[in-house]
Amino acid sequence: MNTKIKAGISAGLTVLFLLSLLITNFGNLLSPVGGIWNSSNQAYYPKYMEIQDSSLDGSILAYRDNMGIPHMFVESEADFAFAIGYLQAQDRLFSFDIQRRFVKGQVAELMGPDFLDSDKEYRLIGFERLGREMWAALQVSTDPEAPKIVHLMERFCDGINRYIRDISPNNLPMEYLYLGITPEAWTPLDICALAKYMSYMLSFLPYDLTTTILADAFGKAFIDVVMPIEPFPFETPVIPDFSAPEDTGQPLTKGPSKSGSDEYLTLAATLANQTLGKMNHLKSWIEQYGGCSNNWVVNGSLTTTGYPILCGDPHLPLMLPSIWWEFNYVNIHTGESLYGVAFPGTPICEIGMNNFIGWSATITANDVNDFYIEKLSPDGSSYLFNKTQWRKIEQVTEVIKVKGAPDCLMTVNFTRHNYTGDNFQCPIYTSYKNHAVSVKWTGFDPDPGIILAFYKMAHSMNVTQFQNALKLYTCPGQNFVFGSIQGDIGMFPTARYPVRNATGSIKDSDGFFKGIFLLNGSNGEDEWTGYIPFEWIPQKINPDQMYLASANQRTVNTTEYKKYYLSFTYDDGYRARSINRYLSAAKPHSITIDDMQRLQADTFDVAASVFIPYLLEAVKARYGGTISDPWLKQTIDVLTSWNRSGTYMDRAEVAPTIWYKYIDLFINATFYDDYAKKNLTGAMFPLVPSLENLMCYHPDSKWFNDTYTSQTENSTDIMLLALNRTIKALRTSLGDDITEWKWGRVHQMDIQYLMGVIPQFNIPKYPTDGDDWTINVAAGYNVHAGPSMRMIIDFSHLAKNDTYVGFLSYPGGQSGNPLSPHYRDSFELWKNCQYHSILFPLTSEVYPTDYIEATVVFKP
Amino acid sequence: MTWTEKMQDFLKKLGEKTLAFLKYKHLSITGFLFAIILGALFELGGWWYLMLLAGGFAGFLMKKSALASLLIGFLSIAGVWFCFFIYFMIIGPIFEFTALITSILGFLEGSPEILILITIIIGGLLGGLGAMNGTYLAGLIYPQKETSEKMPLKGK
Repeated sequence: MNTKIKAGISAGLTVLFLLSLLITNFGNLLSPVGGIWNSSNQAYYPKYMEIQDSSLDGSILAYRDNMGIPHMFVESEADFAFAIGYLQAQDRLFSFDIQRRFVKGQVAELMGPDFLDSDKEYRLIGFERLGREMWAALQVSTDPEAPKIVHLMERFCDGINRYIRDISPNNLPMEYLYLGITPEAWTPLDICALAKYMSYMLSFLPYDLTTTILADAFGKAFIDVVMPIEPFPFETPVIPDFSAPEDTGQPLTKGPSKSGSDEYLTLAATLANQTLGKMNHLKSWIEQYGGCSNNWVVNGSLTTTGYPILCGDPHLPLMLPSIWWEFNYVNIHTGESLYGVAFPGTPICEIGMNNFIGWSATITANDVNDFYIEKLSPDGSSYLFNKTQWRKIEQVTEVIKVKGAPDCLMTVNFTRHNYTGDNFQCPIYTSYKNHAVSVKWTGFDPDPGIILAFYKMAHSMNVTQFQNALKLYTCPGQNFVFGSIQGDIGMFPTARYPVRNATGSIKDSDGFFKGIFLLNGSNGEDEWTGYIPFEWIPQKINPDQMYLASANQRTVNTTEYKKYYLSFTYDDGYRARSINRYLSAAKPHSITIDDMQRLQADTFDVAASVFIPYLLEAVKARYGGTISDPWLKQTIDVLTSWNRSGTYMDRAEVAPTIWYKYIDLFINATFYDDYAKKNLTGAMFPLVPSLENLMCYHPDSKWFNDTYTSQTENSTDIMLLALNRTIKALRTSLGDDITEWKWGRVHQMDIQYLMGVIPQFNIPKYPTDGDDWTINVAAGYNVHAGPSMRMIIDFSHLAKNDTYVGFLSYPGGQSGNPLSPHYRDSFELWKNCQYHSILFPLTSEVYPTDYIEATVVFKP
Repeated sequence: MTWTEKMQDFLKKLGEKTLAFLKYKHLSITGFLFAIILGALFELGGWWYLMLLAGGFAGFLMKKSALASLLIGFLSIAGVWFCFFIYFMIIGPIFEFTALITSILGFLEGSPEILILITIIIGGLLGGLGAMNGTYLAGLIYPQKETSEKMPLKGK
């Protein structure tokens, strides 16, 4: 064989080998430099890092403590923004970069056609466009702080982008290598788009669609059964006794029940069904993660220290990397400081404290979006009828790239409902028989109030400044709980809440508030006329009861607050009842930090404590003292004992398993027959408090009658039916040995890395306490959401400028690198309802040196 | 031939053989070092595919037999990559990470160090194949020269 042939064979082999490495991506992945091994190398923070950047105003000293939390000592606020950007990117670059792709509807480009639906859903809302509009509005805002905030946001992005430059191309996190992508520059538009996305997830509710479907089937009055518009006697609103400026509202009256033959309602229900089909991602978010959180604050007269204590545990998706990132900064010249948590990718301190005040938040669930039925022109649906004229539909074409498939072109149609000066686009979801559905949401308003408000809240020094900051706040609705070293406490369920009284009435012709069902978009009668004035938003400072608590329950007692409609889609209210039950019983100067920690970990189920005695009574009434069925007898014995010892959702107990199944089947046994006859078995069933109301106050309600039988049933019959079904179901699924029906066997915490894409990075599932109605919430059998963070601020320490001012923990850790010791170090604390101390040093000199794990120095 | 002449002849032959040996080794060592330095520089830049070039330069310079070039190229780049992993062992939890990766991939579980070995072999093969191609390229460019300078055999 001559040399040429040998050379040819050799070259061919080499090319084949090279191609195989390129095609399989093994070359990039396994390369020692730039390959996956970097994730291992970057698992630990370098003990000392020095970063030079000529754009800095001065030097920054940043200590990473033993939890990886950065404490930054800066010379200017702009430098803080740069440093937080850099350090946040060091911990979480990939997670917030991939989040940006979700928000912008660019995931199918990476992952393929499976993600096309979510991309379409997000592009329909248009977070990228909304972010762009908000950023533009912030730049031209007349607020005196706006130019500074614009600069800070740019500096934050500079910090992230500096980090991206420092690690590109060879030290990128391994996820980038795996996906074959590189991070693009981070911009203020991205911050705004993420803010809009979080607003959407925490405030945009599809319940108007559900109620319309149910109203078509059962009549509008049924809504008072499903989600009561008026409060039940057992409810405890967020604001205990709101003194409105002037009470001239109309009395709340309900209209007559409409039958299903109402033509317009039937059309609305059809459109509502179609629209619901286009928001699967939102529905799945609500089902899986359902927004519910707790916060409360107690006045100094109730605490042992004489200063307030503030607690907050926002319930959000439990995931890895954690949804939160913790930080602290001190301006060494002005003394200003801040400690709190931010959503990665943003510099905004959502929850936290400064030297004077602290705050936390829960969502209000007040109604900030409406769906409108639009009238389309008969000529190909290019025009909508708006009050008096035909208006051309605006269109935007979106090109969605799809991995392994041709690009997908999507046309987004918009209309506007701008009778009162607002001029934002309202996307159109669907059309049917010359009608369409559009949506108007306060989040479409480009007003940058949310960013301005958070900045000013973080710089407030007292309750007045905090309240003034909130006047700018836009969306999503949040119950901001407040405490200060001056001893003030407050609760502010704030947002821009729309007023729908274009006809001079906030109610429709049936007497129902406009905003509960689909609205008419063509006659102008259901248009928004502005926002509820701030002073009319229920709020409270220093109440007589000496504490304030929110858990997503009803904002205010609507039998007393009549001027404006807020919402009807509140949480069940059981967590709020638990918190109020404890705090209202507290004696003066008795509450300690330990008490608050115990309360955050509390697993007492108020709902069970109400329902179980009724069930036991029903069994007693039916069977007397002799129960012949051994399964029923064992079940009743277990429930009786549990009821006596307090209905705690303990994972080692059997009774919680029975209770959880029972309440589900009790609702089902009550309403399934009615829903099935209307083909609505997939629709939303009434909530547990509605059932409580029927069981306690209307035991002979028609809803208890099983329409499949010839007899007339009451609540006792249905309770016993549900109990028998419960026993049967549990024997089938868990076996005949009742002692093995432990709650922890079926109720498990499931915390996943980026929605479970790499199971090895998940936290293995484990049995856990709690349920949907406990303060320490853990809803469903497979728990994916819960207290995303637990924080307690002790204002007695803050007032004394102590270095430790409270406690905090969250499921996960600072780092997004699965190999880092800080990937899940906070999780171990959180799991056991423990905390790390909040280290809040006011100068670098008092920083406890034994806490320093790494030092980063930024120099100009 | 006198004893002295025999001694001189012996020393002359010994000298020639030593020189030939040294020349052979010299080229090999030069090529080996060349590949190591280039390989390390290219890898520090993150250009793993340039291991072929590093090996290629060395092979072109050495003009050994194809097998010898393959071996020297392989050892040089594998050595470089091995050194990187020694460094990784010092600064990070490389074995934990490899265990995690092998569990994700679903093979080599229980013996994660084999993935590191495979990685080093891949680097070595890139260097070796590069060197072999370099040697052949030299042979094609300079056909008049013997591209394979063999080690002088005993007694010849």
